[in-house]
Amino acid sequence: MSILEVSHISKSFGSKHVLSDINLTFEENKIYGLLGRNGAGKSTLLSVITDRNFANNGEVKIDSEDVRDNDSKLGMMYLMSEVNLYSNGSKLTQIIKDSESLYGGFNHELADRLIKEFGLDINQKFGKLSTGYNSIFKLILALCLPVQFVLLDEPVLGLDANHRELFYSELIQSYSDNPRTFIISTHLIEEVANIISDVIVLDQGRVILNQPVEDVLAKNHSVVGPEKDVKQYTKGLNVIGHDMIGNIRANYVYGDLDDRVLPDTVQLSNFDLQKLFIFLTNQYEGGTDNEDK
Amino acid sequence: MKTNKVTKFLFRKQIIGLGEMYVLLFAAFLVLPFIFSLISGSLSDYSLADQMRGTWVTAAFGIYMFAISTVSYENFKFLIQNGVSRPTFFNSQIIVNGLLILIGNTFNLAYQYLVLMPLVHAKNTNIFMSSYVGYFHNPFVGFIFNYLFSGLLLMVGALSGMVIGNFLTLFSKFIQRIILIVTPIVGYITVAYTASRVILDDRFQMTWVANFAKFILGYRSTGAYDPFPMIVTIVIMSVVMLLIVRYLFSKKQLKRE
Amino acid sequence: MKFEFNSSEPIYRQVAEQIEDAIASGGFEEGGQIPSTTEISKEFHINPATVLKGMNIAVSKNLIEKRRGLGMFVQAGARKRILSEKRSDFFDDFVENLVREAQNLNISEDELLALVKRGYQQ
Repeated sequence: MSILEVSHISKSFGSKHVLSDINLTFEENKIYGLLGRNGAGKSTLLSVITDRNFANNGEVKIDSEDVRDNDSKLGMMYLMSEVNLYSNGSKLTQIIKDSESLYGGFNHELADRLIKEFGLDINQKFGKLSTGYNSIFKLILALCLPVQFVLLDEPVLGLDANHRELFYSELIQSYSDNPRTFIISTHLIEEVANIISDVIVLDQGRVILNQPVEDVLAKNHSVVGPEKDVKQYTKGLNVIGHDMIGNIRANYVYGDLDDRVLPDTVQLSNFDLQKLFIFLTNQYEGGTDNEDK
Repeated sequence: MKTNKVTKFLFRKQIIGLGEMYVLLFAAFLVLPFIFSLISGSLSDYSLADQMRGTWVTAAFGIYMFAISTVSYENFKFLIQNGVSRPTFFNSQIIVNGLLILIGNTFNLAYQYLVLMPLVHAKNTNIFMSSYVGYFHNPFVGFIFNYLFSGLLLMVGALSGMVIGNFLTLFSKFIQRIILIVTPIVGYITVAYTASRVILDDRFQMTWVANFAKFILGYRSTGAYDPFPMIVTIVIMSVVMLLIVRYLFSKKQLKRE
Repeated sequence: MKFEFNSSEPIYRQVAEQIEDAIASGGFEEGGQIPSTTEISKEFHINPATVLKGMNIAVSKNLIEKRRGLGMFVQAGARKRILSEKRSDFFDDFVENLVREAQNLNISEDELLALVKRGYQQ
C-alpha cells in the first residue's frame, strides 16, 4: 500500500501566493480529480509533488518518506503535463527506450495497442508532433510506465472528440487491469465527473473541497419553487448559488438539509459536479446574505 | 541505484557528441584549409604539419566539456521527467565527465606523441612538455606525469565549464544573455584596469603576487620547473569547483518558459 | 441496457436500476451473461468501483450472481422477482403522483377512473 501525502505545501512567485498551505492525502488505487480554474495552482502543485520545482514550505511524502532528491520515490510517479521535457530532436522510439531503462519497465503490449488505436507514427521526432499527438504520446508513456502514481495534467489537451473518448476508455481499461492511483487535473469536469472517485477543488492556491464524489453529490441539493417558499425553506442553509426565471427560484444548497418540512410548492433534486464547481469557484456572494433580508 | 542507468544514458549521448566534435575539429583545421589552398591555387603554401600544430585538441576538448555543461538543463528536464533525482544526475555526470576526460586525454596525448611529435619534430607540444618535462630524468616517468598533468588540466577545464554552464542554466534565457554580455565587458575592464596599474607601478614587479605565481608554477632558481605545486593547486581548485557544481545541481528546477 | 445517466441520483444506484430494467425488459436474459464491470465502465466512462457497487446491489437482491472466473450471470427467476417488486412499488411510484396531479387539476375520482379506462381501451 502506497500513500502520497502533501503537507503544508506553500509556494509563491515573488509576492504572488500560488499555493497556500496545501494538505492532501492520495490513497492507493483511487482516481482523483484535481479541479480548478486556470491559474488556480494545479500545475504548480503537481510540479512540486514530482520535485520538478521547490516549494517554499512543506513536504511531499510517499509512505512517510520525503520524495525530495529521492530516486526510489520519484520513480513511483510519472507526471504527464503540458510542459515538454523531452527534447525536440529525439525520436519517439528512443524516448521510450530511455524512459523504459530509467523507470525499469514498460508495458510494450499495451503501448503497441495504443499506438495502433490512436494512429501514432512512432518513427517521428518528438518536436514534429502536433499538439494532439504530443498529448497522446505522453499519455501512452503515462499508462505504460510501471508507476504507482500517474499524474495527468490536462490530459486531453488538443485531442479531438474521438481520441478523448478513446483515451477515457483506455484509462479505465488500464486502471482495471492494473489498479493504481491516478491524479487527473482538468477543467473539463463533465468528462471526468463519473470516472473520478474523489474530487479536489483548488481555488487561488487553496484547497476548497476534498471529498469522495459520492459524498459530494449527496450534499448537492437544488431547491426549486416560488421565490418566497424557496427562500423560506433554505433559510440558514449553505446556499452557494441560485437561478431565477420570473418568480421561480432555484437555490443551490451544498450541505445537509435538516428535517424541516418541504412545502408542496417546492421541489427538491440534486445538481452535478460541474455546477457545484462553478458556484464554489465563482466566490458566490449573495446566497446566505440575501436570505436574511 | 539509478546512477548506473543514468551514467549509461548520459555517456551514450555525450560520447557521440565528443566524436562528432573531433571530426568537426579535424575537418575545420585540416581539410578546410587544404580545400581553400586548392581553390586559391596556393597549395604549395599548405603545410600539413603547420595545420596540425594549430589544432588545439586539448583546448577544444575543454570547450566541449563546457558546452555539454551549459546544456545540462536539457538533461535535467529529461531526467526529472523520468524520476531521477538531482544528486543522482550530479553523480552520473561526474562519472561521465571522468570517463570522457580519460578518453579525451588518451586521445589527445596519443595524437601528440604518435602524430604531432614525429611529424613536426617538436618537443613542446603542450604546457607540460614545454615547462615541466625537464624535471624528470626518466622519459617514461615524464610520460606518466604528462598524462596525469594533462588529465588534471582537462578536469579543471571541465569543472570550470560546469561551474559556468550550470550557473547559467539556473536563470531564464533572457537573464543568461544579459550575463553573457555583461560579464566579459566587466571582466575586460577589470583586467585592463588592474593590468595597467600593475604595469605602470614598478613596485608590483617583485611583490608577493609575482612570488606566489612563481611558487604555483613551480619555478626554481635553477631555472627548472617543479610540477608538484601546480598539481596540488589544480587538485585543490578541482575540489572547490566540484563542491560548487554539486551545489548548483542541487538548485536545479524547472524554469517557467 | 440504455444507460442514460442523470445527475439527480447517485450513479451506482442508477447502474443497479438499469441492470434491473434490462432484466425486466428481457434485454438481459435469465441465465445469460451480462457485461463485465470493466466493459460497463469503459463504455460509459464510469469509475469501475462505482459500477461494482451498483452490481453488488443487484447481487444482494439475488438478481445476478458471480461465477468465478466467468463473470456475472442473470439468476433464474430474476425477472419475476423484479416484476413483482415493481408491482408492489407501483402504488408509491405512480398512483400517488397520478392522484396528486389529478387533484391539482380538479379532476374528480370518477373522471380519473374514466380516463384510466380510456387508457386501457387504446
